[in-house]
Amino acid sequence: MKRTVHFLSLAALVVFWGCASTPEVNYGSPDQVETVTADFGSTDLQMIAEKMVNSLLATPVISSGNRPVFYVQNVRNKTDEHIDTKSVTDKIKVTLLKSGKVRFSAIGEVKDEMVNQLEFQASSGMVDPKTAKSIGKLVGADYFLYGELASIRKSAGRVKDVYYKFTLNLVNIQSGLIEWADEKEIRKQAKKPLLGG
Amino acid sequence: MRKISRFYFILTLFVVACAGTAPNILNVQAGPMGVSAKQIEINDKYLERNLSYGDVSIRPFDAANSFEAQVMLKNESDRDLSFEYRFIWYDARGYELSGITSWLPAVLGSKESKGFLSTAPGANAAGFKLMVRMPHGVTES
Repeated sequence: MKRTVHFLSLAALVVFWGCASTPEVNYGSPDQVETVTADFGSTDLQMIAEKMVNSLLATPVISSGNRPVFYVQNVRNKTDEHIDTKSVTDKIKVTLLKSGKVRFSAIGEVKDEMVNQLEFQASSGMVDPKTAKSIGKLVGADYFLYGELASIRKSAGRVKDVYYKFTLNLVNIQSGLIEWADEKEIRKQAKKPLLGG
Repeated sequence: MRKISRFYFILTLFVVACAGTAPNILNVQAGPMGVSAKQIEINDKYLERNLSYGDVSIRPFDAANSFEAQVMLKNESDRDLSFEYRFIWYDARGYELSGITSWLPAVLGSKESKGFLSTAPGANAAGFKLMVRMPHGVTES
């Protein structure tokens, strides 16, 4: 009986070791809340986008139904982390576009490609003139979005506290007025365990 | 034998504690003119005791049928309550509308009430679900 128990224990140990030697990889939902570390993460991006989209959709500039044309200026990263702020504005842009209430100009992002393509269509002689797009017909943007992401980071002992503030502004290109602005604050705290870590 | 039973009991408790709980769901049929129906689906009794759904209000923006919904949530307990929530919007035929549907973290202090806002992603929005659940996000393993 004792030998059987020892054998089963050994077998279980071997099985667990076998499992532990290869990393476990699972697909997860991108919708899940992520708290792996206190650094800027996917949930922070989603929280910022949710707040900004809700707020922007409610502003009279968009809710008037005129489908204004926006373009996205850069969001300055003033934190001490490497954060791809473009992915934050991309998330906001895609959600707003899907609402059908706003149009976005691509000139700011792919200006060179558009100029090259227009010149190619107009002057290469390789494009059917009936389908060639003419120069000087690009739609001018009505507003642009710009903002910044700042953070305050503190740690003492086992506790780390990070505060993020994301600010976004909508500027009327004709008048230079800031028509809308909003901010999202996020506070995250991480506490190292007493043992390990 | 008794030791083994105890071990399995503790193991079961551990597994239950680690498993994600099902969300409580507030189903709301609403348009720019207001709420026409609402119904609460309880799947987590613990959360039901500690976090209650309050008033649902609708704020229309304009003639283009844009509107915003606010749901009041109240922490009924005597301590801070962390939870996750998400809004999912539907059209009149029950199709999910594009929008941000991620689970988002929230904390309410003891006895604190707070309005949770979401803007209808399109003029064809006919209702939404507000799901709340205990935190069970992706953490360090």
